Amino acid sequence: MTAPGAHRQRGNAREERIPFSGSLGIAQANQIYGAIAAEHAAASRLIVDLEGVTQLGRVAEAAIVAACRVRVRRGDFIHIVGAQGLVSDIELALGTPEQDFEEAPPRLLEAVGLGTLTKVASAAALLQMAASSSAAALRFAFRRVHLPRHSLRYNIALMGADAVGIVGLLAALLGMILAFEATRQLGDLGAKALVPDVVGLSLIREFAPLMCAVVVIARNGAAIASELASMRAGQEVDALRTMGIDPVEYLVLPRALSLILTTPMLTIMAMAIGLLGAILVAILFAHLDLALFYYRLVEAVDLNDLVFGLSKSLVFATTTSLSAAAVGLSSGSSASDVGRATTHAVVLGIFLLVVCDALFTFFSGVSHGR
Amino acid sequence: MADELGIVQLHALRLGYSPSKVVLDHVDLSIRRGDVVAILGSSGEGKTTLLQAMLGLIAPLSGEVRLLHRSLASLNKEERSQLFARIGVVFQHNALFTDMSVAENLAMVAYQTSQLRKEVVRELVSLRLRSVGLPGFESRRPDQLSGGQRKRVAFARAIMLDPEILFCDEPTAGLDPLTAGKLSLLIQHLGSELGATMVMITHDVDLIHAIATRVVIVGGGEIHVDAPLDALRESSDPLVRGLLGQLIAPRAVS
Repeated sequence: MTAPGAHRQRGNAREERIPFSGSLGIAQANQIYGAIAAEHAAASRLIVDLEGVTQLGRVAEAAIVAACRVRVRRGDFIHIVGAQGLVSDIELALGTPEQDFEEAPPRLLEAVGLGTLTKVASAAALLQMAASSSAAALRFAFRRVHLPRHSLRYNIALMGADAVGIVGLLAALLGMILAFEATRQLGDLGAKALVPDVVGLSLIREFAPLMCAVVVIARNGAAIASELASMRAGQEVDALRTMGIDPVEYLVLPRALSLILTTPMLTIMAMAIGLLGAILVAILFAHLDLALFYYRLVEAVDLNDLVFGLSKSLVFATTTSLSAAAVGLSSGSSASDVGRATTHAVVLGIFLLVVCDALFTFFSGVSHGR
Repeated sequence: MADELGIVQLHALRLGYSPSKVVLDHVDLSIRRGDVVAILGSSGEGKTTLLQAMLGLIAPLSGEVRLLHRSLASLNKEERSQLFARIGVVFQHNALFTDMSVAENLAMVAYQTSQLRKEVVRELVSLRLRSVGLPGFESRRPDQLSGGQRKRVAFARAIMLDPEILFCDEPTAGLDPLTAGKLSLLIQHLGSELGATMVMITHDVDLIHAIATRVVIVGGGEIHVDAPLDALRESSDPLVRGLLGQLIAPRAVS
């Protein structure tokens, strides 16, 4: 491919000639680059001799140009000789400014600013979604919105019926775990009879709504965000707008209503199955009487606790559906944007879940204190 | 000698979804180095299926596909990767990665399938973008480009490593006549610069007229016509006349 460069002194400048010959392509590209840009080269005038080249592929041409740029930066003078077409192509490329397409990572202050702006935009999108969904819900309540019935039925089946198995299984396990732990802790104090109180209150006020909400976020929040983000990427959302159809009414409202309808039902089911699991453990392992369990449970848990638990599940369903819809409808258009929207929806859903739960606990504590 | 055999060879190929749903049957085709082949056919006749089979994207029900003298069925993962580094493909919908910049879309081909130095890749990206008329577009994202510009980027990516064969699926589809005309010129220029064999699915008669040397027409579940373009100018076959339209001389009225 190439002969060793011939060095000779010419006036005050050293001259180096690097001859190339034959067909030069991708296989020779790295060698060409190395030969021209060699660190040890000390010439101030470099002649790249392409006279003997019969064929020059574009990859080899890029290697010559990239290496010549290195020599030019070192202060060498480059002269290219060979067939007119080849020489002019390379000279043209050398005359074009070098492009560096690798993006520098943002600086700290820039990153903080960008992060803050993203969070503010996300919060604004969530508030806007809450406002437009509430408006759509009101229009639906006054029968000014025609919901696609198949969509409502489909979403209720998907979000409710299809989740019965996993919610039931997790609730039974949760009830058993709570009963085991309560038996262990209270048994040491000789207060095993209080197991139904502890299990009943914690399941109905806290764990059943919380566990259901986590399942709902993982299953339905992620699904809503990814579906809406895919629709946005596929211009289906734009298509609805151009047809004069509000995407919030047509896409978000059926999903949000389905989730708001099904989540409390799943929570009631989780409460019941959780209690059954707890009863099983209490009878078999704590050796409590079923009648005693029932008596203590009815004594400890009243209707207010049930309403408290169900109110939580309603709020969780609302925040999950709205945050997922806001994230999905404000996502970008690439495949990775859809993935990012799904992840973001789950993280945001769990964040809002914990914040809302903390607020519930705080306000119920305050009112209880009064 | 090897090249006389054809660098894309299809032997007794049967393509379809299942033995009862055959799309194309008895496909025998040999494409020689330097051929510019236009594949035509009505919608649903199996043009894209044929192209997918040539690229090994779908397995034939029976028969053999040989690309650059290697049977696709006999290749292991590494051999397949080496073989496919020698071909370029322009997909109908461009298949650009929208979360990468234009430059990254091009550079990934070189980084993943060759050992080229970073400096050479960077220069090659700029060179390819200049050759498709998009200098300085390195840091743009595909979703910031027009349809014609995206198609040019797809071409730049396909020819990144001087491919020996360039496959194109409807390269001018969905573009306005002016942009399609410019792209046809670009394909013509790139084709002559690369000296590559080209296989393209297209209904663009101007493009066929400008660069195709051979026409393959798919119809009735088989290769209906496989002939040099010039041989078809006087054809009386209704399918040929229907697809090639104004390329064909009007029939004399007896």
